[in-house]
Amino acid sequence: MSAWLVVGTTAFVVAALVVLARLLAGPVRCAHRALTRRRRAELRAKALLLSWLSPGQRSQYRARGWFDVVTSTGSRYRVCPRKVVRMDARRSAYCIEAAPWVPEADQMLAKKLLLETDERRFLATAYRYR
Amino acid sequence: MTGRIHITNAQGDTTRTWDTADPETIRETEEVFREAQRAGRLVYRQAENGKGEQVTLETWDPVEHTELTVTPRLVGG
Repeated sequence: MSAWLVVGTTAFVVAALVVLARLLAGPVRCAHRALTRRRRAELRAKALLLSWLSPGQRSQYRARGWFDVVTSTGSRYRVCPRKVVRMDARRSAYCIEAAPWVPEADQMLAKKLLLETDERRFLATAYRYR
Repeated sequence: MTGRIHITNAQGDTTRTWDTADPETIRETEEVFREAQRAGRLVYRQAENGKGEQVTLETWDPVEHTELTVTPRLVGG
Protein backbone atom coordinates (compact mmCIF):
# COMPACT_ATOMS: atom_id res chain seq x y z
CA MET A 1 0.00 0.00 0.00
CA SER A 2 2.75 2.48 1.01
CA ALA A 3 4.76 1.55 -2.09
CA TRP A 4 1.82 2.61 -4.27
CA LEU A 5 1.63 5.86 -2.33
CA VAL A 6 5.34 6.57 -2.99
CA VAL A 7 4.98 5.76 -6.70
CA GLY A 8 1.84 7.90 -6.96
CA THR A 9 3.40 10.86 -5.18
CA THR A 10 6.55 10.65 -7.30
CA ALA A 11 4.52 10.52 -10.50
CA PHE A 12 2.51 13.54 -9.38
CA VAL A 13 5.64 15.55 -8.52
CA VAL A 14 7.28 14.66 -11.86
CA ALA A 15 4.12 15.61 -13.79
CA ALA A 16 3.88 18.89 -11.87
CA LEU A 17 7.54 19.68 -12.65
CA VAL A 18 7.02 18.94 -16.35
CA VAL A 19 3.99 21.24 -16.49
CA LEU A 20 5.87 23.97 -14.59
CA ALA A 21 8.91 23.70 -16.87
CA ARG A 22 6.67 24.01 -19.94
CA LEU A 23 4.92 27.04 -18.46
CA LEU A 24 8.22 28.77 -17.66
CA ALA A 25 10.04 27.88 -20.90
CA GLY A 26 8.27 30.60 -22.92
CA PRO A 27 8.92 33.54 -20.56
CA VAL A 28 12.53 32.42 -19.92
CA ARG A 29 13.22 32.17 -23.67
CA CYS A 30 11.60 35.57 -24.16
CA ALA A 31 13.70 37.17 -21.39
CA HIS A 32 16.86 35.61 -22.81
CA ARG A 33 16.08 37.00 -26.27
CA ALA A 34 15.41 40.47 -24.82
CA LEU A 35 18.70 40.36 -22.92
CA THR A 36 20.59 39.33 -26.06
CA ARG A 37 18.94 42.16 -28.04
CA ARG A 38 19.84 44.66 -25.32
CA ARG A 39 23.47 43.47 -25.20
CA ARG A 40 23.70 43.76 -28.99
CA ALA A 41 22.25 47.29 -28.82
CA GLU A 42 24.78 48.30 -26.14
CA LEU A 43 27.62 46.99 -28.32
CA ARG A 44 26.39 48.93 -31.37
CA ALA A 45 26.00 52.09 -29.29
CA LYS A 46 29.52 51.70 -27.84
CA ALA A 47 30.99 51.32 -31.33
CA LEU A 48 29.24 54.50 -32.48
CA LEU A 49 30.37 56.42 -29.38
CA LEU A 50 33.98 55.27 -29.81
CA SER A 51 33.95 56.45 -33.43
CA TRP A 52 33.15 59.97 -32.15
CA LEU A 53 35.60 60.17 -29.24
CA SER A 54 39.05 61.73 -29.49
CA PRO A 55 42.00 59.40 -28.68
CA GLY A 56 42.22 60.91 -25.17
CA GLN A 57 38.48 60.52 -24.51
CA ARG A 58 38.60 56.99 -25.91
CA SER A 59 41.29 55.87 -23.47
CA GLN A 60 39.41 57.53 -20.56
CA TYR A 61 36.20 55.76 -21.55
CA ARG A 62 37.90 52.39 -22.01
CA ALA A 63 39.79 52.62 -18.71
CA ARG A 64 37.18 54.27 -16.47
CA GLY A 65 33.82 54.31 -18.25
CA TRP A 66 33.65 58.13 -18.48
CA PHE A 67 35.31 60.87 -20.52
CA ASP A 68 35.88 64.62 -20.27
CA VAL A 69 34.50 67.23 -22.64
CA VAL A 70 35.81 70.79 -22.93
CA THR A 71 33.20 73.23 -24.20
CA SER A 72 33.75 76.27 -26.39
CA THR A 73 33.76 78.47 -23.25
CA GLY A 74 36.57 76.38 -21.80
CA SER A 75 34.46 74.61 -19.14
CA ARG A 76 35.30 70.98 -18.47
CA TYR A 77 32.56 68.43 -17.92
CA ARG A 78 32.85 64.75 -17.07
CA VAL A 79 30.32 62.63 -18.95
CA CYS A 80 29.60 59.56 -16.83
CA PRO A 81 26.89 56.93 -17.25
CA ARG A 82 23.64 58.53 -15.96
CA LYS A 83 25.20 61.87 -14.93
CA VAL A 84 27.41 64.76 -16.02
CA VAL A 85 29.68 66.57 -13.57
CA ARG A 86 31.09 70.06 -14.10
CA MET A 87 34.76 69.86 -13.20
CA ASP A 88 35.08 73.14 -11.34
CA ALA A 89 35.37 73.89 -7.62
CA ARG A 90 31.64 73.38 -7.07
CA ARG A 91 31.45 70.05 -8.91
CA SER A 92 27.82 70.56 -9.93
CA ALA A 93 26.15 67.35 -11.08
CA TYR A 94 23.51 67.23 -13.82
CA CYS A 95 20.92 64.65 -14.71
CA ILE A 96 19.88 64.55 -18.35
CA GLU A 97 18.57 61.54 -20.20
CA ALA A 98 17.23 60.37 -23.53
CA ALA A 99 13.51 60.10 -24.17
CA PRO A 100 12.59 57.50 -25.31
CA TRP A 101 15.23 55.14 -23.93
CA VAL A 102 18.38 54.35 -25.92
CA PRO A 103 21.50 52.47 -24.74
CA GLU A 104 23.75 54.30 -22.28
CA ALA A 105 26.57 54.86 -24.81
CA ASP A 106 24.12 56.61 -27.19
CA GLN A 107 23.04 58.86 -24.31
CA MET A 108 26.65 59.69 -23.47
CA LEU A 109 27.27 60.55 -27.13
CA ALA A 110 24.24 62.87 -27.21
CA LYS A 111 25.46 64.65 -24.04
CA LYS A 112 29.00 65.03 -25.42
CA LEU A 113 27.75 66.52 -28.69
CA LEU A 114 25.30 68.88 -27.00
CA LEU A 115 28.01 70.11 -24.60
CA GLU A 116 30.45 70.70 -27.44
CA THR A 117 27.98 72.55 -29.64
CA ASP A 118 25.45 74.20 -27.35
CA GLU A 119 26.47 74.30 -23.67
CA ARG A 120 23.71 76.83 -22.92
CA ARG A 121 21.04 74.46 -24.20
CA PHE A 122 22.56 71.63 -22.19
CA LEU A 123 22.40 73.71 -19.00
CA ALA A 124 18.83 74.81 -19.78
CA THR A 125 17.72 71.20 -20.31
CA ALA A 126 19.61 69.31 -17.60
CA TYR A 127 18.44 69.07 -14.01
CA ARG A 128 21.17 70.19 -11.59
CA TYR A 129 20.99 68.21 -8.38
CA ARG A 130 24.25 69.13 -6.66
CA MET B 1 29.98 58.55 -53.36
CA THR B 2 27.87 57.20 -50.52
CA GLY B 3 26.85 59.02 -47.34
CA ARG B 4 25.70 57.44 -44.09
CA ILE B 5 23.37 58.63 -41.37
CA HIS B 6 23.29 56.79 -38.03
CA ILE B 7 19.97 57.13 -36.23
CA THR B 8 20.35 56.24 -32.55
CA ASN B 9 17.53 54.12 -31.16
CA ALA B 10 16.76 51.26 -28.76
CA GLN B 11 18.68 48.87 -31.04
CA GLY B 12 21.83 51.03 -30.75
CA ASP B 13 21.39 52.70 -34.10
CA THR B 14 20.02 52.19 -37.57
CA THR B 15 22.21 53.23 -40.48
CA ARG B 16 20.74 54.60 -43.69
CA THR B 17 22.76 55.54 -46.73
CA TRP B 18 22.38 57.90 -49.64
CA ASP B 19 24.09 58.15 -52.98
CA THR B 20 25.39 61.68 -53.61
CA ALA B 21 24.44 61.29 -57.28
CA ASP B 22 20.92 59.99 -56.59
CA PRO B 23 18.35 62.72 -55.77
CA GLU B 24 15.83 60.11 -54.59
CA THR B 25 18.07 58.79 -51.77
CA ILE B 26 18.96 62.38 -50.85
CA ARG B 27 15.25 63.19 -50.57
CA GLU B 28 14.83 60.17 -48.27
CA THR B 29 17.65 61.46 -46.06
CA GLU B 30 16.03 64.91 -46.00
CA GLU B 31 12.93 63.19 -44.66
CA VAL B 32 15.08 61.68 -41.87
CA PHE B 33 16.15 65.24 -41.00
CA ARG B 34 12.53 66.42 -40.92
CA GLU B 35 11.47 63.52 -38.70
CA ALA B 36 14.40 64.21 -36.37
CA GLN B 37 13.54 67.91 -36.15
CA ARG B 38 9.87 67.12 -35.45
CA ALA B 39 10.95 64.80 -32.61
CA GLY B 40 13.30 67.41 -31.10
CA ARG B 41 16.39 65.42 -32.05
CA LEU B 42 19.65 66.91 -33.27
CA VAL B 43 21.84 65.87 -36.19
CA TYR B 44 25.62 66.18 -36.06
CA ARG B 45 28.63 65.74 -38.28
CA GLN B 46 32.24 65.44 -37.21
CA ALA B 47 34.11 68.69 -37.88
CA GLU B 48 37.78 68.88 -38.87
CA ASN B 49 38.84 69.34 -35.21
CA GLY B 50 37.13 66.03 -34.35
CA LYS B 51 34.35 67.74 -32.41
CA GLY B 52 30.68 67.65 -33.30
CA GLU B 53 28.93 70.27 -35.38
CA GLN B 54 25.17 70.58 -35.59
CA VAL B 55 23.69 70.14 -39.04
CA THR B 56 20.18 71.16 -40.03
CA LEU B 57 18.27 70.53 -43.20
CA GLU B 58 19.18 74.07 -44.25
CA THR B 59 22.94 73.66 -43.67
CA TRP B 60 23.30 70.04 -44.81
CA ASP B 61 25.42 69.47 -47.91
CA PRO B 62 24.85 65.87 -49.12
CA VAL B 63 28.20 65.82 -50.94
CA GLU B 64 30.35 67.36 -48.18
CA HIS B 65 28.64 66.05 -45.04
CA THR B 66 28.66 62.31 -45.69
CA GLU B 67 28.82 60.99 -42.12
CA LEU B 68 25.96 62.06 -39.85
CA THR B 69 24.52 60.98 -36.50
CA VAL B 70 21.03 61.65 -35.17
CA THR B 71 21.15 61.77 -31.37
CA PRO B 72 18.19 61.06 -29.09
CA ARG B 73 16.10 63.89 -27.62
CA LEU B 74 17.47 64.82 -24.20
CA VAL B 75 15.32 65.83 -21.25
CA GLY B 76 16.15 66.84 -17.69
CA GLY B 77 16.21 63.80 -15.40
